[in-house]
Amino acid sequence: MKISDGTITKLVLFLAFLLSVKYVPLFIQVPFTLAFVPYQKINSFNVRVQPVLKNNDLFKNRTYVGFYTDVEEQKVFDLERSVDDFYTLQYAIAPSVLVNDTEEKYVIGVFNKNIIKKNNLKMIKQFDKRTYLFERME
Amino acid sequence: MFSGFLYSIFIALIIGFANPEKPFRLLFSIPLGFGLCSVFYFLFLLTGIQNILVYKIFEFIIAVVVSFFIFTKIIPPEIKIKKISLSLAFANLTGLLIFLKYYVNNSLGSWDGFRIWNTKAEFMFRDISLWKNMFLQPHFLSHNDYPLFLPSSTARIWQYTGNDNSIFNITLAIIFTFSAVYMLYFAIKHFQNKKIAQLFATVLMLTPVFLVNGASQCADIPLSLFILASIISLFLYFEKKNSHFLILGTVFAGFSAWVKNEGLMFFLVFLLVTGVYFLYKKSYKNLFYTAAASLPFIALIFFFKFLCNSPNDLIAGFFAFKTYTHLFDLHNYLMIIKSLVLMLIERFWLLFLLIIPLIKGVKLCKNNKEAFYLSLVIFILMCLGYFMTYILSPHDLDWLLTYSLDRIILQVLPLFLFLYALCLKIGQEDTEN
Repeated sequence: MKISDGTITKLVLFLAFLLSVKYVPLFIQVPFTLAFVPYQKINSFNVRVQPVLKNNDLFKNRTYVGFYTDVEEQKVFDLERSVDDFYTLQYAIAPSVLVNDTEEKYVIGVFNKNIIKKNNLKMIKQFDKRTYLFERME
Repeated sequence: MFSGFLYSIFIALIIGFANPEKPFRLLFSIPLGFGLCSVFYFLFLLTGIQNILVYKIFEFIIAVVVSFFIFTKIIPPEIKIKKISLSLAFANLTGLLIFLKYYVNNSLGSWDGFRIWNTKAEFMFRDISLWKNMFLQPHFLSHNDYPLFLPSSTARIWQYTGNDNSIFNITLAIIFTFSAVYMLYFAIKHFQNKKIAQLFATVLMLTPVFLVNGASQCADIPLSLFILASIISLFLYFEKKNSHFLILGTVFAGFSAWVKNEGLMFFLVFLLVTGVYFLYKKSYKNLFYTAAASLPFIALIFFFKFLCNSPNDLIAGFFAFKTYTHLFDLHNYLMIIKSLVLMLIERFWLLFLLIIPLIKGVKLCKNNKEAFYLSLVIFILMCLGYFMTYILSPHDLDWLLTYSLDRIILQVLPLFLFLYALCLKIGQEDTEN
């Protein structure tokens, strides 16, 4: 039995669309979301970035900004959560550069439980529930 | 804001329209135009000029000069918007919705898109006097050595629009993602036949992993577009025996190196394969054209690597961690092959539908043979390069495969589909029953 080219083409196209039938609700869902949902504002990165980004001017003329957290300094880049925090803050403070130490003039602290205080750092601002700005007291 | 955005796109396309002749002129203008503009913007930042207006005037002058050539018929314009089939149009709409669905859930991009590419773009946008600070980032996950095509293109558009709203990033991503599909479509249509072109473009347009990666605002899909454009140019060179296309192919390969480090591997492989071929054929003129076209990109990449002064983690690991010892560990080889098979089944399953046309057999068109075999060698060498990169990586192989293998596949997927489509007999006259 010979199968025509047209039959094969139609079969592949039919199967491709059949396997994509689950995307049909998107025809309503996506236009609705784009039109009525503030998807940019509720984006998880954006929610974390905005409070610091709004105060980005604080870091003007500072090449480096410090970072510390309730995760041990040596383990910051080993844990997914602290890596996330670090890079989210880096995005927010660019073009300043975030470094994993507390030796800079300004230091951003992210704490999941209690704020860990350091003698020579004075808290000067709270960005959100977990994120604080400290200034080094010489 | 939106007029600035449209203007930035228009200027890039006009500049890209300077490429030689039909066919593909409009499609080629996308990677060429955005590629050139990203390099222009990078070079502008290097000058240290603080006034962005200077850059805008410079681009405007370039666009006017190119337009002069176009409209004085030295390079006659010819744009034909051709009709596409209903199934492809419907797949296009569905693909766009899948794409936008990912975008509304991840408007600042995927984790990599956000952390690597968009963060670099912010460095190049927020304060252009401090953009070099991006190279001071201390941790390897910021990948300071990654080339700047995507951040530079994004920041350039933000400069025109005056803000960094993600709607502009995603429109750029749409342009690249759907250009890759349409470039594949028109390439298969031109070198093979319309039936297969429609089939392949429709299936790729419905493949979620391809669309989602495009919407993730990472550089893998733009890279796949440059790789495909380079290979199509090579095919056009062999078809038309016009050296313009060889130069254009080399330029696209050069831009690949400006997109990602994997693109640098493609660039080197492209130069190696075409170089050896022209040496063997004693075609010194073409060898010269290829070398001459590659020189600006070699200089650009060398300069960039010197500027970023940041070792590549894979190359650094080769010496620091003696990763060459991994070559003797059979377990690594098996792990890569196993992950590849699982990845293809889990995320690329829709593409397996394209095995069905094999029922009609395999036949390579005579006219394409030289270009096909050269491209096949390039593809195989690329795959070997990827394989060795995994083997020699200093990172945990399981982690690396989990987070990068799908993107690596996507970089060469349009090229693979193009080469595979050329082998199929279906749609050719002697298969009609």
